[in-house]
Amino acid sequence: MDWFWIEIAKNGIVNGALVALLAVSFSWVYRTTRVFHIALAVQILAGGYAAVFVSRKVTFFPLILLAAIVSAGVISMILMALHTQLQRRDTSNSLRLIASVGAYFLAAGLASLCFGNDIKRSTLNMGTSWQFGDIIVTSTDVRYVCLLITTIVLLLVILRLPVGRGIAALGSNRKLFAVLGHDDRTVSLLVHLVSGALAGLCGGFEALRNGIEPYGYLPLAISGAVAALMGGRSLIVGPVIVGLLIGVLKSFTTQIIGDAWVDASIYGILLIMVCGWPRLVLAPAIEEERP
Amino acid sequence: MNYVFYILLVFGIYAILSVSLDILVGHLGLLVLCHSAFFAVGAYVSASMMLNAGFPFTMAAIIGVVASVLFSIPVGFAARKLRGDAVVLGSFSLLLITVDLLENLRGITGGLDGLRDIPSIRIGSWSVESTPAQAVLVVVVAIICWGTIRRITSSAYGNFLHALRDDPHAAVGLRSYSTSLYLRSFSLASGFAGLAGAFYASHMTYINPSVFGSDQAIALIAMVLLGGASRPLGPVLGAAIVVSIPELVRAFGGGISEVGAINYAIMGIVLVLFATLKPRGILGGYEFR
Repeated sequence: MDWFWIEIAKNGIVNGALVALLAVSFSWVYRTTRVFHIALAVQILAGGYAAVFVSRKVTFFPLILLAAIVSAGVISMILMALHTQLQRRDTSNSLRLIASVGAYFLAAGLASLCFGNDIKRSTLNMGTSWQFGDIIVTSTDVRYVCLLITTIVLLLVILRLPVGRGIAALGSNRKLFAVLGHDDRTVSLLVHLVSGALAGLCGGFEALRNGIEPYGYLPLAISGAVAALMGGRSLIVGPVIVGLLIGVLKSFTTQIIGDAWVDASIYGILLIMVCGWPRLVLAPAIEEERP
Repeated sequence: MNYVFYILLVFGIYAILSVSLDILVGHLGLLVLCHSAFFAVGAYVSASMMLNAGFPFTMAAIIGVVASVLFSIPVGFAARKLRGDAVVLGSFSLLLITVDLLENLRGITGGLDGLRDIPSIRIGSWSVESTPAQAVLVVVVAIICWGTIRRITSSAYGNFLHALRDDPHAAVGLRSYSTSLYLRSFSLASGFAGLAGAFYASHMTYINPSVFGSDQAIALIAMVLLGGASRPLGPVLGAAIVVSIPELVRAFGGGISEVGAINYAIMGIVLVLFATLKPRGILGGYEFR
């Protein structure tokens, strides 16, 4: 195979790692709270801005990532409070989605007011690159893939712990979970924190690599949502596989038919999935809404 | 004084859009996010007819309305089997695909640059070029649209829609008739949205894809839900509030560059507060279950 196509596949896997992480982040909230978590974009935004601003003062990379995680974690707590409020009022899934969209609008507007509309870039040197034949591998590529592998391992371990089984149980039947005396708030808090940490890390990486501006993260969040929905009911493996596939598909689509049609292809797949197999991608939500 | 008429005109266009969207949201119970795609089809088709074929406004507007209705038929057909999140997701995807098409089909739509120098509104030999005249015309059309939709939704047809909305199993009982109801509702809503698009394009004389994107879709949903879905005056009140927010921001401070951000933030607050505190809207309309 030509080195060129191997390079394209490599870029696809790196971009797919980002989508896969966001898909896992989305999936954890969606499968347990039934909130179509558009506000994932808010967590990405928070992590991104924190990483860029901290990187201008500090060059120690783990500290920059910690700042991204903490800021996204704080946002997660606020979003969890919103989700809890909506659950207490027994609002429909559609209204929860509207609230999530509202949270995104509010955050994007505030980010624009506080930091301006221009792209904020980090002054951090993102490290070295290595050449294998005609393929160039940057330290960012390695970091993305390492982060994905670490995340998968860590989350699989969490799912095997009692709290992890609680997460799966909460996703299956929230009412039964509460009736059996389990504390759904603790599990819900963990879910939101894990989701926020992942989204914050993704936002931080993306901001360090490409800079950050207030309005550009909705499509990224939607890509994560598409991967999560197409990954089935699984919390980790399904979203990761589909996320990686979407990354590779996007990379090849960009190369073959051009950048302009990439988003349309992703949304087209989502539309076909929703119209053709709504029960497959949204089964819990649909069943709950029927009288 | 021209400024007041300009706001009145924008309000008229959004009133047509929100009242027509209410057919789907309030009366049929579908949280549809692709109404601005119908709006876009009406605007682009009527503008293209005037620019490329030299059609007068009335003829171009009729063709825009027809194109919008034709565009909505497969959407209505697909929507009949969907509920809840699936409608939101499906319609949002369709909107994003439509905007992507508008951006990429440069030969037809002008791409990101959009269509320029669209002829102004002209009805027969009456040239409606001044803003006050256009505002009066659009408000009169909005009142006619509101009256027509009010009459239709108060009839037996409206009762069938409410039955479908309140009990999805009724769709099984109504069998193929439910498909017809969905198609008619989507045709009606998209037709009025297409008409609003034709007026919008001819008033602005310039359109581009960013006008019809997700921000617009969310603003339209906010209008309907905020005022009170399925209430006769709910969407009109919602349109008045949402249209007046940026104007109030402009009037009471902030540079032009900040108006968009403040508008965004206020829209976000309105949506969050609506969902948590007032899910039935100001006038107490239909609440999504």
